[in-house]
Amino acid sequence: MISSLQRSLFKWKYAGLLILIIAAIVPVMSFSINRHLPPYASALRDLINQQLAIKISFSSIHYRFPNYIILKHVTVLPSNSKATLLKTSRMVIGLTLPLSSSWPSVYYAELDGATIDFTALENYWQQHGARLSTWVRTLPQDNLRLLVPNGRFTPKDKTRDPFPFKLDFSLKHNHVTARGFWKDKDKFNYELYGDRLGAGFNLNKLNIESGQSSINLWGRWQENTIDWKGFIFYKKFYILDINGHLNIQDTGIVLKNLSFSVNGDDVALSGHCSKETFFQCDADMSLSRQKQHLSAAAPLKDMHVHLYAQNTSEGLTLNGQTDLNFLFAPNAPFILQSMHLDFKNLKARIMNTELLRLKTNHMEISWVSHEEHKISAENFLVGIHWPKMSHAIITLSARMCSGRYRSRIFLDTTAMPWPIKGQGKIDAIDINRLSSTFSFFQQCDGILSGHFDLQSLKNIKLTGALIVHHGHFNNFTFLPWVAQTLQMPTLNHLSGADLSCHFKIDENTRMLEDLNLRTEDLHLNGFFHLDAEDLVSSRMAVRFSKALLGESPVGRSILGMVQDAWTLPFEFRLSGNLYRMNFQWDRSALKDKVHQHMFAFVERMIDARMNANP
Amino acid sequence: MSVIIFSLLLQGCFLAPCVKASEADLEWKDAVRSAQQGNADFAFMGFQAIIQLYPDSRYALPAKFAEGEYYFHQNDLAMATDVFESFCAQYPKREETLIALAYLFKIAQIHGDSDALKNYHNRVASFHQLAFVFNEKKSFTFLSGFGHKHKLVFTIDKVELYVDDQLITKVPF
Repeated sequence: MISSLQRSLFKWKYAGLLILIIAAIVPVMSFSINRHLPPYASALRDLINQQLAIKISFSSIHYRFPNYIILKHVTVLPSNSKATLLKTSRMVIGLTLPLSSSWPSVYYAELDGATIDFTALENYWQQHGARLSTWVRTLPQDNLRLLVPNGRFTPKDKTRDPFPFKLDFSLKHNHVTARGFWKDKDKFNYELYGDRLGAGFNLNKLNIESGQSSINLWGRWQENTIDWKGFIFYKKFYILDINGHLNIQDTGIVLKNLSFSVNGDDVALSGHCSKETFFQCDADMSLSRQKQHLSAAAPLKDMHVHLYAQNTSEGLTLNGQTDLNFLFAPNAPFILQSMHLDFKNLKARIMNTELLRLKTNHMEISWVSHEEHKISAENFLVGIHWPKMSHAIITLSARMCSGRYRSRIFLDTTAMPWPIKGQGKIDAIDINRLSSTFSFFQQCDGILSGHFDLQSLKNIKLTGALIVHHGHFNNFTFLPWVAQTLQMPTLNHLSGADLSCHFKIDENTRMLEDLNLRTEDLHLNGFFHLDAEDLVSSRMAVRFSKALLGESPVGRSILGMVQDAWTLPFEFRLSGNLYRMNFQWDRSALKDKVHQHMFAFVERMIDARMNANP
Repeated sequence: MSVIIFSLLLQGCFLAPCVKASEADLEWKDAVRSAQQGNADFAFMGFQAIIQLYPDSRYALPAKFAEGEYYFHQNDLAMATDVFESFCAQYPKREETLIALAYLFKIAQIHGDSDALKNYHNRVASFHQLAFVFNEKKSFTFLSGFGHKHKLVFTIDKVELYVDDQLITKVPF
């Protein structure tokens, strides 16, 4: 009993002695290190400043037992700039204990209350990125942990508030782990697990998640080759089967293949980027949509883009072609089978993070709608503005056929296919120059102006005005019918006609309002409506010249009864199916005068004979 | 002798159809009489017999129409639709087909079937091409096997079907 008590007291005696020694050593050691630390830290700081072209300043530095250095109010500035790169209220640096002969090295760094400025960081990286990379490689590679528990990131757009982030990075025996979050508008949590493989890296998992989206990637970086796979869910988009293969060569970065599916539609990309500048590249992109996804609202079947981009003194210059093929819907009010865009020296300029401007002096647009049409546009200007990730506004303007085209398109990116709304306007288009594009306008002179509203691809509305001078019309809408009924073959082909009307075309109707057609032999006005089922509703008043009335047996009979018939309008109505229109001669001064000269049985005979098929 | 044999042969060739035609005539008269006496079911059986036994007779068309009319008045609209559709397919160019189409339009109205309404509306609208030069109306009348007077009245923008002077349906276009 006594013996065990003695042993216990003995242990406590030595433990107490040890504590006393440590208690004596720690202050002495701390005092000693703290005394020599500032000059040592200043020298080290000057060395880092010199190596990395930065200016580091701090308000105080002190040692904390056993192996921590604590710096307060640390500020990092690029040596040639006044913009603060990094600011932190407290930096804790953990050093390995110099138990062996080696120098202590950093194994832990914690930046408390760190603020990083994106603009300053971007500028610094552009100037001294290579230098920083080299310096990072000199840091210990076996065991390192970097912790930023409550950082803030100042975005490029200074009108936006800095957003918080957290980083917890660790490297332990070639195994890399990174976790944290950043919160701009939505909070994104991220996790990264991987292993260093000599000169390569094996990405076991990269997961980025927010409330509505999730990115999952894995892959391998081996020497000059990067392969990755994964899947992404973003709101209503399912990007699956990602399979990418990238090769880093002396000449640049070659994207051998990147394929994935967006909600079941296949996308493939390939291209080449210059190593010096990412923006110097040529790329091929193709989109191929599943047959079952095609509809009148989303008629795009496939798309192929070939692009060559070059960074010039005027900004990014793009050359290339785009081919689009659409679902052929024969009953649609607008039939577009395919489209080809050919652009040269298209200048792209990012005005800010929300606005991209594209400009070219000349662009060729061709499309197939039953037949091939081609049009060229000058001073083609596109503005793509995306104030939110959920939508974009595209403005287009161009000079074409001596006139001007302007439109605005609203693109909702929250649903697939992207719902589109648009408005457009054409002013003073020279119809003569459209004659090669639209055979309808061949040998016509005149001006076309109008505007359109596009509620969706399914619900297109076109309204506008059409003025044609010296027009030449073959088989103009209902005139062949009039020509046949009144036996006036001249009406099949009108020459030197002046035409003006308002037009309205939408999903359900095609209307010509305030129609006014005038030739030497004819003056016609009225309206002509056609619905989606090709049913006609029309009222017209037409005056024929004496010569034209004389051409027709019907006209000659009328002239025989009413000598001034050519001065009176012939008022009529059309209805029924477009290809089998019903006709009615409306009550008018001319009809009353003819009626006075006719026996009732003759009228009945004429009516019976005029009926094509009852 | 040979003349007698030839005339007998000739009679043999033509007599059978003549007998058939007269049988169809009798069957028709019988069916119409049943309809007049209010025996719609017997009349219907008579009309069906004509369709089956004398499909090439001149009574086949009104008998087929009467079959559709019978189902319509019995409120068996599905059968009426089938019969009138079959009638339209069999007699696409006849004016009576327009009456059948008007019935089909009416049935679609009763069912509130917008697709069918659209279909029959288009078929009625494209059935004719009419010109109203001096008169603004045209009409066509047809007396059905059940003794109902059907009248189609055409104007520039509509067709109306009257049965016994009662407006049954109007197809505007």
